[in-house]
Amino acid sequence: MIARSVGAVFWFESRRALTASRIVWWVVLTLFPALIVGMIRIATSNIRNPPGPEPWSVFLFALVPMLVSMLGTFLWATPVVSAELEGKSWVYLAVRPHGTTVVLLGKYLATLAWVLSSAIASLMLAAALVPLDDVGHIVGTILRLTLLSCPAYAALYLLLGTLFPKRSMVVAVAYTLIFELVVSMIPALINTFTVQFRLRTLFYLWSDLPLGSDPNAMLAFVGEPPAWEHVVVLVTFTMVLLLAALGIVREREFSASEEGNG
Amino acid sequence: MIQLTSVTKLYGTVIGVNDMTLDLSAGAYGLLGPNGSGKTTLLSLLTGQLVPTIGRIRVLGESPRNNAELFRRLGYCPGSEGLYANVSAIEWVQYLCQLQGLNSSDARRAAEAALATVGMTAAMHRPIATYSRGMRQRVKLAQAIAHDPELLILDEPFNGLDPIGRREMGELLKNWIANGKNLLLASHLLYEVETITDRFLLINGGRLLASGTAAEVQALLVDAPNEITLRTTELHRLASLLVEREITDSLRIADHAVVLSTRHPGQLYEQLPQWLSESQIAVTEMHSADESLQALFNSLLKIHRGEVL
Amino acid sequence: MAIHDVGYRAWKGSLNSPWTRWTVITRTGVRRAWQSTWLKRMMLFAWIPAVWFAAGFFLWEQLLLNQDALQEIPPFLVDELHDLELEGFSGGIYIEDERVARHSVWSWLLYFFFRYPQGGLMVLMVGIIAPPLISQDVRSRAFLLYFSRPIARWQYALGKLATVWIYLLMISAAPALLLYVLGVFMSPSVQVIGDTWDLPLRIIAASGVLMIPMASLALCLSSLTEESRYAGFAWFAVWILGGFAYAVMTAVELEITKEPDSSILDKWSPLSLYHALGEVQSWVFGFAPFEQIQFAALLLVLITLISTAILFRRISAPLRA
Repeated sequence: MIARSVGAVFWFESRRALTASRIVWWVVLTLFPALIVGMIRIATSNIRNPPGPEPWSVFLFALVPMLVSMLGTFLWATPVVSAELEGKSWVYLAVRPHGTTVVLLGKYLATLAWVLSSAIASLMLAAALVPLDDVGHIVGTILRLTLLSCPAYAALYLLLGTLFPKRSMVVAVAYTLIFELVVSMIPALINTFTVQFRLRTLFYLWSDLPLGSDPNAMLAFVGEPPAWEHVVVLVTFTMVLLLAALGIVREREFSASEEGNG
Repeated sequence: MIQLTSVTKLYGTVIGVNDMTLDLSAGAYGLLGPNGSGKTTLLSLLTGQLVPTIGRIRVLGESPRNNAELFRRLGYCPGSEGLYANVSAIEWVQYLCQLQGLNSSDARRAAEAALATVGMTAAMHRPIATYSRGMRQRVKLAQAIAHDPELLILDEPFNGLDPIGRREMGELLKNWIANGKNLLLASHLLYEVETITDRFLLINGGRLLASGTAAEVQALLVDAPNEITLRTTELHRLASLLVEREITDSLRIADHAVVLSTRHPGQLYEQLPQWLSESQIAVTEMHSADESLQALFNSLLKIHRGEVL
Repeated sequence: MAIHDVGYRAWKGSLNSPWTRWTVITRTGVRRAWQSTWLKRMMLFAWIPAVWFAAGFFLWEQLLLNQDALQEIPPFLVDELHDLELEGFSGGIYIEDERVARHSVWSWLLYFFFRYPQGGLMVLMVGIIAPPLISQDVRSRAFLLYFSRPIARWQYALGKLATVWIYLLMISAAPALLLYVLGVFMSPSVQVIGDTWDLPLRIIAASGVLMIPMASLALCLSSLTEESRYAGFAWFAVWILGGFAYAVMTAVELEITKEPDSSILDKWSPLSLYHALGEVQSWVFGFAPFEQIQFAALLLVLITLISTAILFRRISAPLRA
């Protein structure tokens, strides 16, 4: 019964999201990587040694599993609770059997559907513009990373949205800047707790990229093999974050007065 | 049906519900109180949206917090709007029915039936953004009754309805009660509740002031002053007569009538005809404001505020 | 009693000038925004860099008093100072002209203050304040309340813009001016004002460069939607996408150029609002000629004009049902 209800939420939210503004953002996020790839091609069109597979891999990694996944899940997952509170519709959902749980899970799945579709489409478009003969291996690697990054970031932003419903957007931006971009580059134990570190490690391991001039220094920013260990950790992160979000929304009280403070 | 045991709800230092104890058997009740009296807080506690700071709550024998089984038997229509603007009524009510556990086709049928009950069949395919306030109120009620709950909790259901709509809503709720279902109806408009049920809960300042039928509540006020209006052409003579008999607490002349307050209405009713006959004073009209629930409530509030000992 | 005797009476008082009516909207907006605990925390946090830079002013003035200490400066810092090519210095750290050097260092500290800590905080702060300013008015039909009074559209828009301006002033001009005053107090004599009289004006100009286009853009985004979270997302997305594009293109250019110089960074700055702002502020503080930043300046002017036009159009549109 819960699965059926989750499915109902997924379809309802997916249909309800077919608004002009959301479609515009979907198009913008989908086209942005292709635009950047195009600009890089123009900038490098007249040089003797154009970028090879490694730089293009790095660009596509930065564009799709990082930027598009992050921004897409930021838009969709962060306001899951605050949107309902601001619209005063949360109570209608919360008084249904397992209402808070199925709504959160259904919206999570709807987020994944929209963001993954945008990320995969953007990857295909951008890859089509990459001036390499064999781009398939790069696309395969980036695709796998995207399939890991979207659920992870969606769960992360979902959790932030349930913890801070009143200022979810600002908190999510601050968290991303501080933890995913800065802390993930600190060569210490703390960066292993970020999604970025795991994605970066998998990117290096799956792309067989060399570790640069000082492998010891690089290893502080990139984890060691095996890759499956990092996949397991990332999937575990995702599950833990999702369960935490479900627990919080189930136990937290959202009063009628709080519903007015979007 | 509903039991509250010493329930208090605090928002920081603000008291939402204050040491409330209730035991309501099955039936229909009106929850009356002015704005800010704690009605919505109480309903939020009963529907599991809030957890009491102190005390215990049972609805249909169970704790309402995160209780999936209870929610199947409960229908709630909150006071806030909260409808999605860009979906139609049928889509929204069907969606909420699906969240109740119905499959897609059953949910559709239930939604159509509920919208027909509230008179929204013709407009149910239009986006909710195009509805008037009264139409939205009907849709809110439809989502509360669509899954045929045992207990219906309504917060200000008459808001936004025109007189015809109020009448139709009233008839619907009376039918609901007549079918053996339970109802808790919150309102600040006394005349709305009086037409639906004769059992009331009067709250103010988060406290339960009184509960029971109008007669039972009236009996509570046996020692509380009653206000009686006497219309006559000989105002000052009548006023003087009543003061001499020492039966009034207070008395004033207003708008061609003598309005008095007395703790002994029974005695006054018994002896007034003789006094008037002896004094040759003709009274053309007499009525007590306390016959209506409004007056009962005003009296209770006076007691609550300490204006009457 | 006839209705014209009840409430609709001739009033013998005087109305405030229409030129000041917008201040009511601003005061209300400022008070409402101030109710946010997050904003209060951010305001406190926004002044911490000022403490850091005040220490910079203090250290500089102490170095001027004790120029032998210049020898103790670590080599990497000497290289940094050399790269900055500040006026009044020679060979990196040797002070040729104390008065000119003071002006350069103060300008650089103030520019750095605007450019880095306050530039980033501005994005977060406007992301808190601006998105609901107009979107909530649309959603709650507060437009009906505003425009049923004798308030013109420009007064409404100005009132809302000024709400954002005030908070931006509090994290940009106010701490920067305080830094300047601190610098004066920590300098050997009040005559330094004569050497640095232009800096307060540059501070105000740099604040204007920050405030005007950013407030216009943020309110334009707020006016485009009834839901403040989408306005908030659009605001952050503009910065993130622009910053990303700038980072990628400059990285590519630096990689392929044999002799990279700052012109590469300037070339791509119009892609990123953050860098465009920084370019124009560098001109305001005298670190770049106008020719170098003209495209960035043009971008900011265009953003201001287009955003303002859209804002006016949106607040003039009939309310949706």
